[in-house]
Amino acid sequence: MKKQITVTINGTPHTVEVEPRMLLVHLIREKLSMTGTHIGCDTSSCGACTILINGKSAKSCTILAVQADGKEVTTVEGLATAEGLHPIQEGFKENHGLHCGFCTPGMMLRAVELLEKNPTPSEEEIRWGIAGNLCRCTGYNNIVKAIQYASAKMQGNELPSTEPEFV
Amino acid sequence: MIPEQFGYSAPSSLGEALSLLQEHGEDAKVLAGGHSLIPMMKLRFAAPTHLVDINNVPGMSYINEEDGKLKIGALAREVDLEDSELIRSKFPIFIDASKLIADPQVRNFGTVGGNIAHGDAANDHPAVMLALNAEVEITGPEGKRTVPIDEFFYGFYMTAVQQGEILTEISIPLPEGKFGCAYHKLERKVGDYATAGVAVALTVDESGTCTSAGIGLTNVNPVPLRASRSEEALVGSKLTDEDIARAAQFAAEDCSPSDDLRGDEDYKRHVVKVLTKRMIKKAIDRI
Amino acid sequence: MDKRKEIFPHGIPGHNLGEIEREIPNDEPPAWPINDKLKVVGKRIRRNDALAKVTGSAKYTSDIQLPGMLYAKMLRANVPHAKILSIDTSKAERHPGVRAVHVFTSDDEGSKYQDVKYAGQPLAGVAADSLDIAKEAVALIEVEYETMPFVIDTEEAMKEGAPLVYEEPIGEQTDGGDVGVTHDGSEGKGNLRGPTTSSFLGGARGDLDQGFSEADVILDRTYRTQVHTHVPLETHGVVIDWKPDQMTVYASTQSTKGVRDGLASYFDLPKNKVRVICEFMGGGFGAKHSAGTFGPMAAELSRKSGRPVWLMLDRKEEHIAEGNRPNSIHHLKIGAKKDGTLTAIQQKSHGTAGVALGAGVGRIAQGLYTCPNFSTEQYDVLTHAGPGAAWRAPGNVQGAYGLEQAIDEIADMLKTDPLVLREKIDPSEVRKVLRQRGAKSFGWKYRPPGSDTGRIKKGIGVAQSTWPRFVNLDSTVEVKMYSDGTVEVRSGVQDIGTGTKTILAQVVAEELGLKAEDITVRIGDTIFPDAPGSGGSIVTGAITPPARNAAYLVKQKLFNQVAPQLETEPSMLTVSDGMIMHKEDASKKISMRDALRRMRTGQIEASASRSDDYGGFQQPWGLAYGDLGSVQFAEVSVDTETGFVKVERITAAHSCGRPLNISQIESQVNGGVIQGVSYALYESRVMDNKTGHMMNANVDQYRMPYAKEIPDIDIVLVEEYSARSSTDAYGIGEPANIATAAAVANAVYNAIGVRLYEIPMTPASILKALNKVEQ
Repeated sequence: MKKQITVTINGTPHTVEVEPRMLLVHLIREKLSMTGTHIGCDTSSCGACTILINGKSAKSCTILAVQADGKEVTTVEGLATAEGLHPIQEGFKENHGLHCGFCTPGMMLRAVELLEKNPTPSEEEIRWGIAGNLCRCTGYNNIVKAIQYASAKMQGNELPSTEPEFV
Repeated sequence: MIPEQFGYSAPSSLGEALSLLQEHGEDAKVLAGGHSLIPMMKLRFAAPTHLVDINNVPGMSYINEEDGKLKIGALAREVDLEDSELIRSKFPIFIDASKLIADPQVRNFGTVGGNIAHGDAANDHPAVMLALNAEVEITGPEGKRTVPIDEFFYGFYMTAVQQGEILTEISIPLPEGKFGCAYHKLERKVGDYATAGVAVALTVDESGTCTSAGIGLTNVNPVPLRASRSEEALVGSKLTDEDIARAAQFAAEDCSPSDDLRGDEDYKRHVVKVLTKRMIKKAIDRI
Repeated sequence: MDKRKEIFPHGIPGHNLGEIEREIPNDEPPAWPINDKLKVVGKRIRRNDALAKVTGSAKYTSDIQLPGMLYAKMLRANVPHAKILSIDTSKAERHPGVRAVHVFTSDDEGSKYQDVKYAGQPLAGVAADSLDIAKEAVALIEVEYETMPFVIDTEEAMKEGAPLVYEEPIGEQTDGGDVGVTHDGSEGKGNLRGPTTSSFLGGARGDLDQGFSEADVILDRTYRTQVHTHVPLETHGVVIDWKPDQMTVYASTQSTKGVRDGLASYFDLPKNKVRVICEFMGGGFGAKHSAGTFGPMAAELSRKSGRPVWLMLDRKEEHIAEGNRPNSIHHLKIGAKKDGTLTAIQQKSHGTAGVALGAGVGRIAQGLYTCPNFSTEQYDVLTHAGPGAAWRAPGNVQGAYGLEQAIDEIADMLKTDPLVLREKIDPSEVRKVLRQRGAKSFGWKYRPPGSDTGRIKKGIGVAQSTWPRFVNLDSTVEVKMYSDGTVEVRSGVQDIGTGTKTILAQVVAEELGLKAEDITVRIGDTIFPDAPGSGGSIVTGAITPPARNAAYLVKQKLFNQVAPQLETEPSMLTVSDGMIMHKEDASKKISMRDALRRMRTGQIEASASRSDDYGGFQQPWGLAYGDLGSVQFAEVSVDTETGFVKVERITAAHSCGRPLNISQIESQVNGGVIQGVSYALYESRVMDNKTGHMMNANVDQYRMPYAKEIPDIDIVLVEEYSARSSTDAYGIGEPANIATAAAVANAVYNAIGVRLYEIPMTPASILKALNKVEQ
């Protein structure tokens, strides 16, 4: 029953044997021990497991591991480079775009594709763009700011100040 | 994890896919976007013994104009509709619908074909296809056949796609003359299934008389529903407020919604009335 | 302990800021000035846990993977009420890959198993090589039930002859946190337990009859709220590794101490043999104070298998068994004079926390407004449903939904602006300022209900809240300075996600003249000193004073070593920007780093525990004077054809003493407000009264807002100094959530001119209220 597949995750190819019923998120978390990708529901509703497959944001709880055979997967562990954090990571870090942080990896990976397709989204477009990611703590407003920050940074624009003095 | 074990093949041609379906018989299922099927398998509502993944079959993701028709390949994703200039310019109704389907991640994978092949009256494209008088191309071991959309939906999760067959293309006649279309669903929050949804497509002649009307309803009937009396009320009319109100009233009367967490029957009929009115007006505005 | 006197800032800047003299313990530091004179405290400081969270390196309990670890799954009752005749686990035990099976048994005479009291009650568990195998094995366990009649509906459960949940008196069945119950469940009859007739605010007061006879208007209303569930994004769960010398518990908890004490008590172990670790946790909102039943189960399975056991609940289990906010049927009779003065408040409420207690909602009616005549009767109704748990301001959210609409209704009866009425009846000085500044920021201009004529109608509403300042004295922090210049703060306190780690770094950095990023904070581990659970908005007020005080003490130790080198007295030294310097002679200075390098020992440390409030407590057990107030304003638009409500914007005016980290406070308020909006419009636990099962136990049908549903949220933060501790700071988790639903309900009424007396206000219920749909 098992199938041998090769999935490239964050640039590293992994050749593994999996049952067809294994979901991609379980391959990533349990078999390959990359636990930054989270599971928050059982119904493809929360977006905590969002990753990129060939650059497209995907809910890895709704994709079979065998479907990722031959594909390039990016998880939160692959966002930063030797040069430092990805602008979206910087955005979330600088703008309090998180509380408990459990939704953060999925939220960021969704935002990466959003900014790839639409580098300068309006606030409305950002809110529509993350409509598949649930956050129960922050009220989303700082998440929107984090994505705006990343957009500005990727455009080389002046960055919004994140630590103004309290008045 | 999915509870039940199953086999998996990822053929690279349509012919191979069809013979795999043949080989595995009635418990085999086609896996396209998978965003209806896999959630159902996780919940044990579906337990196919074999999945035939058609995502590696080339040349099925097109959205183009051919022979006076809009043609949508079976693997065209929701996101492809949103990104298509052809769709944006000629069929904004698809943008209306696609934007309200699930969420961006799901739309990256979910296919238009799968949305109707699933046979779920809660899905959005069936109503749109009814309004646009689509035709569905189904390919089986014997070759291709074409089914008008009105003959496509059989019952609860049942369609004209038979065992061993694959939905391969949806074609929609390109509108002639002055045409307008619109879709909206009322949803409790973004990404929800419709409390009720209404798709409207209209053509009018130079004098402003309605020459054709297509109206489809989402999630207010066991199978996707064409609001025939509403259509008849519009065709030949001048689309006055009274005509529109009458069509809306018919739609509300002719559907048969059930009570659920989104609202009771009366409420849903009311929503159908309101949305039918609004979508007719929006379609007129887009002419 | 020797004491000394110090002058503290007192009052509200821009309103009545003054000074006050307090007697404080000698080992605590002098007063900080107000925030604009501080460098780290009161600023927008980046979260010190953000890097781990944005890189995916933060390990939550569900992410823990230990060598040899097994995965566990629990079997849950599929009927709501039954005696269990037998549980046969033999097939599960023989299932390949199963390493341990455990069945919960009863200590009661005459029955081997505990009776089932709700659908979803855990009965047994399996640990196996994989989660798939554990799930398969659980399905092989055979249970023979003798089913019994059950009752789910609150009002049905109150009736004579309703199936009883408990035959006997029961203790408070909660998992910690303050859940608004003071009776012990022994009073009352049948499923109706109580009433609670008093709280720490006192009991009944005055003469109700007299009060109502003096009233010019009397309002008599019943308001209803739903049961809803917490839905933290990470479910409850643990990873437990029970070794002979110690049980190590990784827990997704908001109380490391609560989990440790619970497991130590359950297994009769010394507390130091149970180590609970929670470095990161994915939300709790009140439901994660204890080890629950999954904790003992995982521990049993680890003991039996000799291996670490991972037991995280799935989303359905989380919904049905791990907490909810009880519903309320809240009756209020309020009398008022023509000038607005309240003459009497009679409060009576019923609510169900399922098989648990804690549905009282009366405290806010008792405490928010001036009214000489008051009585309260709060009943718990037991039903065969999952246990309730604390959730952000337990009881007060439901209570405010009723009370704040009632006040709005009285304003209407008196034809007055509801904000003006509150000005008349609210004795709180800080809320006066919150109303003024909030109304200005919101642009409050009273408009009569139903003013708009079009299809889309706009409306505005206001609601207020109060939350006590609780302090937990069992709060200890240790501060260490190492000779290499590093500074470390240690405490058992956990960070539920609100930023506790960051504020600890801030107060220590401020005291030591360093930057927040210079401080390493190690928390969430019971090998560190004890600290309270993250509930009741207690943590900030409890833990930051000892953190500052410990830093102050360690600084004194360093001064003692440095003073001779600088040829001065320790008392003449001060710190600033990483330097230790003489207060009067700027030439005498040394960098903190150099000073630490020259220490005689490799490290110096000090610890401190929360002392009593300066000036004493209102109640000896730690109820501080003052409250945590809020005034929230809402604007909504209602589509009167579809019944669809959009909350356009909220202005949330809040005070929480001395604000420590502005960004974190704002973020907490944002989160509290959306949970309130969601409570008002979306969420509801839907039970099937015929089967006793929850019908929407997932994230698909259990509706919560996503980014698109969020209103503009404008936050007005008011500094308020009360000179009660060395930081004078308090939390804001509870207050952020209390008033929102009531403000939204008042705004909906203002928009459409018809009041709904029940939440959630769904489009269908709005239309019904508008009589658009035939009944």
